[in-house]
Amino acid sequence: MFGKLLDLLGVKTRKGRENAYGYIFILPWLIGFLGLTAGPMIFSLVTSFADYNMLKIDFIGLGNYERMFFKDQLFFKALGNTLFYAVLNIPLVTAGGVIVAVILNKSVFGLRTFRTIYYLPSIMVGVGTYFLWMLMLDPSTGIINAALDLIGIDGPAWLSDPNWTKPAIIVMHLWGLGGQMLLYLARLQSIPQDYYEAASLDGASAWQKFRKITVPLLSPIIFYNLTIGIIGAFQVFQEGYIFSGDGTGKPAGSLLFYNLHVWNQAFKNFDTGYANALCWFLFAVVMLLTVINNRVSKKWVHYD
Amino acid sequence: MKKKLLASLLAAAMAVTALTGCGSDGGATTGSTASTGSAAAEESAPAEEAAGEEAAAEDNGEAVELEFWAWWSSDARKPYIQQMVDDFNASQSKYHVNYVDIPFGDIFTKNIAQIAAGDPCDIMANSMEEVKFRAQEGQVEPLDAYLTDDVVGGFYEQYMESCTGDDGSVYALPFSVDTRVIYYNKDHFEEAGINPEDIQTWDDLWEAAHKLDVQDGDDYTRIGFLPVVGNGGVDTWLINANGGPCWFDEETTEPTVNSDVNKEAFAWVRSWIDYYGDSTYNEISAAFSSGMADPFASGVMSMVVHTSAYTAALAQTAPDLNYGVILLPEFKEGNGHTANGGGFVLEIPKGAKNPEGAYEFIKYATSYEVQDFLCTAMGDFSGRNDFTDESQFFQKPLVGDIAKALEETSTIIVPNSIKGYQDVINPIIDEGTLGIAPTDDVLDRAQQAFSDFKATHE
Repeated sequence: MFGKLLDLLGVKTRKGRENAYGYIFILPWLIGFLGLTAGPMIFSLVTSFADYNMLKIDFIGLGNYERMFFKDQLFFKALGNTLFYAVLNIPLVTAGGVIVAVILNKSVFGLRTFRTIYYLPSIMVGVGTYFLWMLMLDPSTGIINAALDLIGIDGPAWLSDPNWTKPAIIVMHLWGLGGQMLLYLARLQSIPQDYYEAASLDGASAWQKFRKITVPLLSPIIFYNLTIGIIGAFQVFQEGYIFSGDGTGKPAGSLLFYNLHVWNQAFKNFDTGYANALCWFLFAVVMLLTVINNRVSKKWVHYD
Repeated sequence: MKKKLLASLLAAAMAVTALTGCGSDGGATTGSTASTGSAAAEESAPAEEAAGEEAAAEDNGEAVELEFWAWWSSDARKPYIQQMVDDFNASQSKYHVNYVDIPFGDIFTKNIAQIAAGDPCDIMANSMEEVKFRAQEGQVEPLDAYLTDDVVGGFYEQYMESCTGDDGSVYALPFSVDTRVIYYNKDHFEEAGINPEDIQTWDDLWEAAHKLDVQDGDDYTRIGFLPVVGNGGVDTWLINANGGPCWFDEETTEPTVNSDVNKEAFAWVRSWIDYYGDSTYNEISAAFSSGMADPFASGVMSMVVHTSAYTAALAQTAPDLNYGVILLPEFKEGNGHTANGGGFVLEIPKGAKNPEGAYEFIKYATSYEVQDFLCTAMGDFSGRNDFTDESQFFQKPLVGDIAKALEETSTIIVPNSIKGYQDVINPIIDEGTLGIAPTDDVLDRAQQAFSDFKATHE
């Protein structure tokens, strides 16, 4: 439909047209970014160099960044909590998604039902599910510990023992891996069966087929999920805010995630300039990880 | 033909956008000029300007519209707040207040955004604990120009003090307050032969609680009391022991975290958890925080510390529960039954266009008659000091008993210079409560952390 418009604008070459179509596709995002997000982002960068409380601005140079590394007693705790969560959560959810997808790609009895069941949690979002999980994780009456009890394990006090709060959140996220699973499943369906047949004829074991055929062909999707997963893991907020009850990250600061710390600085202490500096540091970290992830991906991601 | 159509459509679209652009630009300019203008006018003669607006409104036969923001939206509250607003509107013709309820999670950020944009609501409900802080941050208008002695004299002194900024100006009036008492199960007490009046000190409480325990093998099927569940925290007991702020000196703001009193009191708090075991504590604590199976309502606990608002929750969850209240016991005989409490205030956000009208409404909402109506309907307590046994509110069961605690309620206001110190010490204190580290060590470490915090914030 844009062909005529491009003619009108004098875009004739194939390459030019491709570029133009590219921009047309990302236009909705561009409009949103330039019209809504870019302004506040620039403003937050500027005020990260200021003592800003939403009503007045005093520029203090690198003061906020200095405070972050040398004065803030909670900065490293919050960063550590977030890293711990990211390092455990990302591989587990990714591996879990792949495994469930591979299983549900076989023709097992009740396949459609299982696919639906696994996918359902990922459309259940919001605060309601967190409260549901608080009930399920209850040490005495919750279903999780009741199930563990059946196999002879005395379950932990998930949300009151600071050693178990982050694992509790990871368990909850594993429950919601259906969204990732769906993407893997779509890709798995498009892998030609010939590859597996040929491998079988050559005497490849199931594990070899999984490692040498399934994983490489899934790698673009794994890479995509990994990128989104890293960004998402560093944005963890609601879990800490709701499970700690009062937003302070208790018990013993174990749920004080980076963004919860940012939120407390911005909206509880009205240290908005400092909160903005924290945000930009996080942005730098995530950006760096994404770039590294991109570089490394050339070694293991295979596009057909 | 098609090309022409498309071209003209695009041209039209561009023209419209351009025009809208102009329109909003123009609007914004006028708006900002107007607000700068009015800001200047306000500085020179706030009352005059407001009077001018009112006069204009009256000429038209129209009342000045005011917006009142709060978060009370439940069936248990909103109808009464709305009733109060309607009554105010009917009581005079100069102002017309509209009640806007905004979810608790959004209202404070919205409020600050509106203040920053120069277009706040007229009356805002907000926390009592942070009036001083908001005053310092320039988020609220002072009420001094309108306040009279009879209004100020109607409230307990500690609440007026909470509403006063460091500069001595009053920035808010108390709308509702809370305190903490111990709720006890009358049936359990009768069965164990305990007279609630005998529980006067911490030792008495310990003794009574363990008479109420019921064990089945190693497990407790009923526990007498745990000090840090329900609505009690470590600070509840340390404030009680200190008769006021427990973590810092009120005069000098120097940390007093590892004082001898605190060490003794914190060890006592932890000894309860040691006594019942960590798993019992975890279970009870989780049951309270998930809010689904309140152990006091279900008779698993015989006593619990909770706020004055707990009666409303119990009316819902356990309407047949036979319970009473006692004051928090004294740390040592003669030490006082101090409880920590807070509340909500009504205030005028900075830059509100009609402070005089807003004040009229605040004065009305905090007056004796209206407070009596609201407290009776919603179960909150009032910061007013002129409630008598004749009031409608005091006719309700337990109200008189809980109100006694108000006289010994300490509203702990964090001085602005050390704002945020709790974020630093609370995680450390938690370690002591949870038994991860000995309470004395924890207090020493928290003292150090507080000192470090202070050093970097000065």
